[in-house]
Amino acid sequence: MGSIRLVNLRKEFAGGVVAVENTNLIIEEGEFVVFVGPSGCGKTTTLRMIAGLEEPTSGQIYIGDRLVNDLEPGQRDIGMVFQNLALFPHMTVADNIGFGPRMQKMEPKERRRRVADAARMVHIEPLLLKLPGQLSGGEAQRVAVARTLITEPRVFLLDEPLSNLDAKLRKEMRAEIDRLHQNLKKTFIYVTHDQEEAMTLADRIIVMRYGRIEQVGNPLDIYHNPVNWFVADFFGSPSMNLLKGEFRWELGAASFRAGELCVPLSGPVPKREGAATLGIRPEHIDIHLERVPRDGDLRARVALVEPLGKDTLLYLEYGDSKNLIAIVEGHHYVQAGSWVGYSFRRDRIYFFGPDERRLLPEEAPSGTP
Amino acid sequence: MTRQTRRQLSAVARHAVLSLWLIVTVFPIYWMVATAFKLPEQWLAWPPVWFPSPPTLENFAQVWVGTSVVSSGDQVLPPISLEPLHGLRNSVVIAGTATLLSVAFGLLLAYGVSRYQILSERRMFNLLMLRMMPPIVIAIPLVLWYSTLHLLDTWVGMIVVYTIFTLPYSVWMTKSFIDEVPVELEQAAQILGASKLRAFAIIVVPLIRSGVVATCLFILILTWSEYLLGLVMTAAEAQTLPVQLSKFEGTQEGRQFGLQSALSIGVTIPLIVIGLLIHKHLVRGFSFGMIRRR
Repeated sequence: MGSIRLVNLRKEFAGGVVAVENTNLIIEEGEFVVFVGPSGCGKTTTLRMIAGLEEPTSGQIYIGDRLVNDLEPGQRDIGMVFQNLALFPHMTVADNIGFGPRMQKMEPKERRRRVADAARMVHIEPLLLKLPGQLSGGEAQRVAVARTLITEPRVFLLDEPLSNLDAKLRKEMRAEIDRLHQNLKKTFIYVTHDQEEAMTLADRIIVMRYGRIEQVGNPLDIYHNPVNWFVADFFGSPSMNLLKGEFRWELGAASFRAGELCVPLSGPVPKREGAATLGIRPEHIDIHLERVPRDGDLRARVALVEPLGKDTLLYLEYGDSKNLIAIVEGHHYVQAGSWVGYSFRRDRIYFFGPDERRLLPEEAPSGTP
Repeated sequence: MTRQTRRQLSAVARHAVLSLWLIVTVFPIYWMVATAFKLPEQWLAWPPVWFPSPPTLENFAQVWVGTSVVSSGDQVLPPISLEPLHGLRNSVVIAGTATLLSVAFGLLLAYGVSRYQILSERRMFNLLMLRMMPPIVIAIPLVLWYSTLHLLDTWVGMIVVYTIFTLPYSVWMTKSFIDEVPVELEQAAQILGASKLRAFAIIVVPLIRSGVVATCLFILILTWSEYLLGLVMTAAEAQTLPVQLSKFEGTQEGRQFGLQSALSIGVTIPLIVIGLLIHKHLVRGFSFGMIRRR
């Protein structure tokens, strides 16, 4: 069984730095789970504790039904691809791949057959006699994957394995890892700080910050229903526009004011007053280029235009040197300095309270007017 | 001045400085070799005899084959019989064993420091401080202890002293090599089923082999050419070549430069031979860390 259960897992380093705070999590067998978060959020430490490379301060780790806290890394039936790949530089590719079977004291003949099989799976047969130093980034990546594959672990742990590759190769390798998961149907735990990687690969994303899990969910759920300001800001490229301001209620009508910008609100709105943050994703800002402003439109000067080909990013000024980013289709022709009308899609506006938590329209906390 | 002229002048200056440096370095070695082949009257002749003429093997014969009899200074002492082959054997055993032990212990200690921080930086520095005091400061109490323990003038006694005295260098040098090996390599090996010790033996050690060889040579040079402790703590049984060399300093016949040089060549050659045999490792060892490893 390749399921994983973390129970009250905690890691405190010398000097009192808490890397992982009481974490509880169940990862189902065959699932592709991505731990994502900024540097120092505890994602790699969690992975290393699962691998047995770091000892938990408290809590239990189960792989299948087995409590593995006291097991050596080699006894946990896991495979791991490291960020720097950790290929043994003094061994050929074949010896690197065959290292696991060699440690298992497998017959040389059987070992050679397994090495050939693993090499075939990741298309590196011609490289078997080379040394790691003679490989390109992508080839080295494949060797690291093959070395992990050959021991047929129940759980694959991948610690930012693509971070040293260029953008194009990264996308290719990402697709290969995805394909590998689909073929092997084993549990994959992948650590990254790249939200795009997390979105494309994961069955389930675990967002971490300050050693705590902020949100667990499938990629679209995380993107569309962030539980707090941090998750909303972390996912999406460009990230969500977050406007600090306050709710206003006048004559029963709600609006949100951020500096000079006043957004009239209709439909379900969190029933509260005072400081809050309004969030709107760039693709949920509608731009209107008509000369005559539409009724209810907001107006802004376009400070900057960034054509990306398929899309174009518009930086809209809404206060003292504050900008909103909007995405329009690439064929729109807008000049910097021009004025445009825009509106927020009502059902796509998010609100976050001063404690960063998302405010839902149903919510009726104290202080409701 | 054109750019090309400037470049040429700079090349000339560079070569001039290097040539001068080469002369300063090589000349004493040449003079030692030349003196070994000179007749006694040419040793201190003025103007100097640049090339031995005729070259003689008398000095070698007297030092290495026959038993040369020298006595000490103005005092009338019984003649000391010099047995250079005995000294050579002592040097090989003492310096060789101390080098192997020092590097072996140093490697283990350095691994602990590098991977498990068993010594703080301050402690590591303290370790180096061991080498900062003059050896004679230690020599006197050591002689007292050693005489009680019956370790004076023994191989074991000298090996222990040299091992301890060179250990700081072994630790510092090998630690710098181990630091260069990413810890993930060992962790990858452990995940693939290797024990910690096995990962150290089959991953770390082969990767720092050149560094270890370079450290061995460095420690060997230190122990091979050590004089002061050898002089104080040995008499006849465990006397090493450098101590024997000093016997020619003040003989009744004056300073025996030719004999001393003939013996010096014997002291120097083993190190040169070892250096040549392992020069590939040396280049790699001393440039360790300058090459990016994946």
